[in-house]
Amino acid sequence: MRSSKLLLQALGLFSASGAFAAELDLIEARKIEYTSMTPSWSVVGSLSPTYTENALFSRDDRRRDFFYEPDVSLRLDGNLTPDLTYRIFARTQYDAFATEHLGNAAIARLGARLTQNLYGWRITGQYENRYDFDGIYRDLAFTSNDVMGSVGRDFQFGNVTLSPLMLLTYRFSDLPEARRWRFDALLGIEVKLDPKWSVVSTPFIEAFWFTDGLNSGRQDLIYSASLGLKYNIARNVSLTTNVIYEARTSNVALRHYTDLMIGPRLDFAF
Amino acid sequence: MKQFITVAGAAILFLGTASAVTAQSRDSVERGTRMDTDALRDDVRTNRLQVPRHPLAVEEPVKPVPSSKESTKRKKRSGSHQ
Repeated sequence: MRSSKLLLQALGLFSASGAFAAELDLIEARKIEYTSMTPSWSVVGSLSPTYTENALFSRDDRRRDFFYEPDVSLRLDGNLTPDLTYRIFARTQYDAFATEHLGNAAIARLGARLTQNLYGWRITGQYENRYDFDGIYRDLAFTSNDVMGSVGRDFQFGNVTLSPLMLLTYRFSDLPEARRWRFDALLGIEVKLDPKWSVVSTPFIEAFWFTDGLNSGRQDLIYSASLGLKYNIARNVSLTTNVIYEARTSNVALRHYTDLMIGPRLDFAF
Repeated sequence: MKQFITVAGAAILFLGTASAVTAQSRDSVERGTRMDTDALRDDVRTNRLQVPRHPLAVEEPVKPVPSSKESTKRKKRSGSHQ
């Protein structure tokens, strides 16, 4: 009788510890987050007709015009580890002016980047091989190799999203005048009014230090701010109407200018 | 004198052409700068879009993990039947 009691107690202990272990396993299993290692293709871009008050960025010769600017990327995105992502991309963009055809230009880019997620911050290193054209892919003006590093993150406060980004670039180029350091600091602000509508704004500072050729020693600063209303057509398509004010100061007085741009932009990701 | 005028004229023409070429190159630098700025503004907006799942993308199987409460309930239920 005593032995059967002991046996029952021992069995109870084993069953209890078994149940406890099963409980632990389930908790551990739930903590594991699945990350797909399969790379995915996407086409991301923006289309916009824009009105500008200074089509040729001139201090004295201000010419008003409309321009059309498509900006389309083909991307291959993937994960190397859950926190380390890569992107290989081809991107093209051009400006087509209605009357000031001297302002027409195009860029084609090929590049790759690595992004490490560290405590919610995205730390990115990027290389870009680019081709700048006069006119819309008419004459190759210069080719460059851009090396960039950036830090950014998204902060969510209720219906407000703040996306600060800092970016440092050096441009190596076959045109000495194009070689320069560039530092960008911007803050993307989005205030959701309802699931479809948002107010958006981007205060933006750009600093340039040109290193070679006729631009050697030139230093520019561009301050700009935009204010717009965004309508989410779908989760991957949105329409934003923006007003952008931009002012450039420089240690080369001729390079000062101000500009006001107004226009809708259709953004898409497929 | 004639030679001097010819040489001076040629030099002026050459300098004019050279400065026009460099001015054009610098202008392409200006145009590129504007497009780079617009590209960064585009990135801020497009980063908030969600790329849809592609119909051809191979979906990795996701195993449903039962919650501990549900499993405990199930255990209890199975225990009560016995």
